[in-house]
Amino acid sequence: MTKSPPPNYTDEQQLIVALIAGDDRAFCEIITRFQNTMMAIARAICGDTFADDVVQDAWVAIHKNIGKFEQRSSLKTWVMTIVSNEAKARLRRESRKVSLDELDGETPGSYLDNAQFTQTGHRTAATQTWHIESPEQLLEEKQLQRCINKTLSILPPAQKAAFLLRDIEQQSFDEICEILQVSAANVRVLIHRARLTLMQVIDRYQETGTC
Amino acid sequence: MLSCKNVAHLASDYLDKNMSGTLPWKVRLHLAACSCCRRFVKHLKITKDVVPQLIDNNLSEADAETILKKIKARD
Repeated sequence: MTKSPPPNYTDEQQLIVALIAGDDRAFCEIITRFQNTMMAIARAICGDTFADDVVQDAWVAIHKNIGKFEQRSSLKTWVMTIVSNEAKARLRRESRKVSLDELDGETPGSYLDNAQFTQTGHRTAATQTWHIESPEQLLEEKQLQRCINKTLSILPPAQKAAFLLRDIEQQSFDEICEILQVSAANVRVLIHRARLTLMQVIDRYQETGTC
Repeated sequence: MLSCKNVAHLASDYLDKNMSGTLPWKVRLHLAACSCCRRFVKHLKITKDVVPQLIDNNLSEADAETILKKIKARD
């Protein structure tokens, strides 16, 4: 592999041209950008056991077919759709049923836990005050960053995939429904629960300075 | 009028503008009257804005090269 300074692919068109031309550095660039989200999608659809294989199969398909990429969608959407299709196909082949079980019930202690509300739906306790509310200040907190990344790594698979696709990859709700094959209502629930879990990390950090 | 529990469930939809009809208005009405829910929605908005910038979702270059080698070996 060439070791000259890597080009800066800030422009998607430039990246696509390099990919179609068979540039290895461009391909490494998309692996760097998309691998973790692809793993999250595969885990959400067909579970941990097959996720590695599925993502590798998807990369082989992408590498083989990148020359035929017609740009009818963004590169990101095309890549995410390929891994989603690989995962769904694998699921069918293995004849397994993986339910998005994190859609069932509420996690005890979460913000949506029934214990947080009276029978009439009022809060049983006041919402905690944050002493750091400025986004700039929060971004400076290295320990908080570690706590957030640690929590992200242990989110239930479908929540993690939906959250990454929406809040990190900025995919539309329709695209997320298509990629994860869940209803719009369920996508919204998954994203909301992921955000609330991450908000709870900030809550705890504000109170204790730790995860 | 919506309850605090309703607002807690609807907060992301409210921030994402994923609501139709009179629902956004009903949420706003509740928020005008309830300081706890106002703070809750404010904190969720901060979370939504800040967390994506705190997440390192990129793979290392070395790991990407290893994956590329595996792909090429299978091509």
